[in-house]
Amino acid sequence: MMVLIREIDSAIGSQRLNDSLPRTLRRAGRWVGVAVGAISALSSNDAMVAPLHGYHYALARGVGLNEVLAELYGSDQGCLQGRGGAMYLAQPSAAIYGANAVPGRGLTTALGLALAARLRADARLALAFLDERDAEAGRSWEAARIATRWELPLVLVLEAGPEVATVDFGLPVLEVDGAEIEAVHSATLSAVQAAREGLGPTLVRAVIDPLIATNDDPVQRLVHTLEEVGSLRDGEMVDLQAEARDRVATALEHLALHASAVSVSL
Amino acid sequence: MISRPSYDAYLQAVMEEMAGDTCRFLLHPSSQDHWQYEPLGPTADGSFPNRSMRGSAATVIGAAIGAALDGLHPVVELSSLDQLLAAAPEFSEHIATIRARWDVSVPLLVAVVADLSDVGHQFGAALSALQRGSPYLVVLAPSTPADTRSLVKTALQGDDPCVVFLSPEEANGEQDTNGLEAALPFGRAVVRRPGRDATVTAYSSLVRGALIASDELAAEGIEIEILDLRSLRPLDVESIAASVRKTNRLIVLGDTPLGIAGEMAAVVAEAVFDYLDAPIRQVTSSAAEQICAAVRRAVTE
Repeated sequence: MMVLIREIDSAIGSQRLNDSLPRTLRRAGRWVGVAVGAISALSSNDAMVAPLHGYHYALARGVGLNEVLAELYGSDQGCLQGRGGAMYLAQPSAAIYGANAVPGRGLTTALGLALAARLRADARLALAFLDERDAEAGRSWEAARIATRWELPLVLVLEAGPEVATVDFGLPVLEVDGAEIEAVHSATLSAVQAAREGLGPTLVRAVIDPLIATNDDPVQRLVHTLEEVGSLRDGEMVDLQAEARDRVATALEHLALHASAVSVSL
Repeated sequence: MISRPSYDAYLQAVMEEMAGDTCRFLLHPSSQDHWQYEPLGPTADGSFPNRSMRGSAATVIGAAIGAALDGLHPVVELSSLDQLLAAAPEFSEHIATIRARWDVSVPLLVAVVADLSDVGHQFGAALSALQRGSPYLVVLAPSTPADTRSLVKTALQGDDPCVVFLSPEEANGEQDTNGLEAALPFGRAVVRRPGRDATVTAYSSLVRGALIASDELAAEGIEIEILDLRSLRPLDVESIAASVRKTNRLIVLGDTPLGIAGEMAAVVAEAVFDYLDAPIRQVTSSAAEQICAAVRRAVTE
């Protein structure tokens, strides 16, 4: 998944997804491991909200590649028939309550989702990804405070750049290296278990400081780890990248053929 | 003790609906002062433990949207229109955005304790802004406790995002809300007083002003027909048009200039222009003397 997202990132950067894409489209970049690592700790019926403009959260949560790419283009083939775009990419039927346009809004939505989960008493929880702007929004802090008072089943995952690396929302904090996907996964798993046990919200603070990190690329780090333990044979990574490139290319061709008002230069 | 029949009627409807369905929930802004009302209305007596959450207006409406996405149908209780303004981005923009972009409904009810006949100019902006900025919103402004109860029940049984304005003064002293129609469809106006000389449309506590004016005018031999709109969106244009076809004159009451009254005048002029014998007049006040003056001008033109 990380390799696939990285490939889409690079396609966005290289303008292979051409000019009909919105200029504001945000790449996953070095935060790809946080999304993939944290989402892999969720059960299929847990609810999730994402920060502004992130396409990769929905992808990592299981929305199809064709549907996500088409949605970025505003095409009727997209998961929201092109009405969501990158800014509101979501799949409500799968409890993916997506991106939104306002800092702090994601966490208040997640607060309500966690409240619903509590009232239904069905062991579900809500996970909110927060970016730096969410971390600085007063409303996020208020929502975290209320969730704590109510001991709601809520997990916060903060993509903590240097500006917000000490933000804690007054919550128990599990701080991890955001470029270390395994660490993000296991910290989120602990937070998820605590939430399910009725212990209230936990903040997973995934820190990446590009100025001090020796290597803040989660994909390279994972490859390195896997090679060390011998799980990745020689050339397998190249194969994976080629496969991802093929998948993206095929998806774009499919889009160009079937979606109206989309032109893709391959 | 100030009487609060509309608030009590709302409370009764919410409690009945909460008792019938575990998926309803109440949220409040943190400071409650309904003219010395008890805080935490429906849950104050402990009958619904853990079903009431406090927070600032924007946060509780944001959380209500999240809960509504999961089918909880929350009720948010606000003690003034100011609080609705504080939450305007959530309430006006986010709900509409979700509905338009995600194609899912956001079933929630925002109950605002507000005297629409006695507002300051900052409140005045709120109502018309809501109308413009929230294409999916149902806006309810009943004038009697009975209508309040019925419309609140309709709101809680449906899928629409609704706002209901709870008037502190009922139109006609009607107190008994038992044994009434359980749920009233949105967008049905009702004739509060039949008349032949001019139609006066009103809503919420403005209806009371119209009724007072109608007695004064009747003493002069002018019979006005008072239409209580009950809901502002959807608006019962057909009932207004039918009344105007009969009276040929229209006076629209509204809570503020640049607001509901102007919109109503435009819509009705489009529907029944040929039937009008005088210009439509707006009165953005519930004061009987102003309503009387507008009616007198209309009937002598």
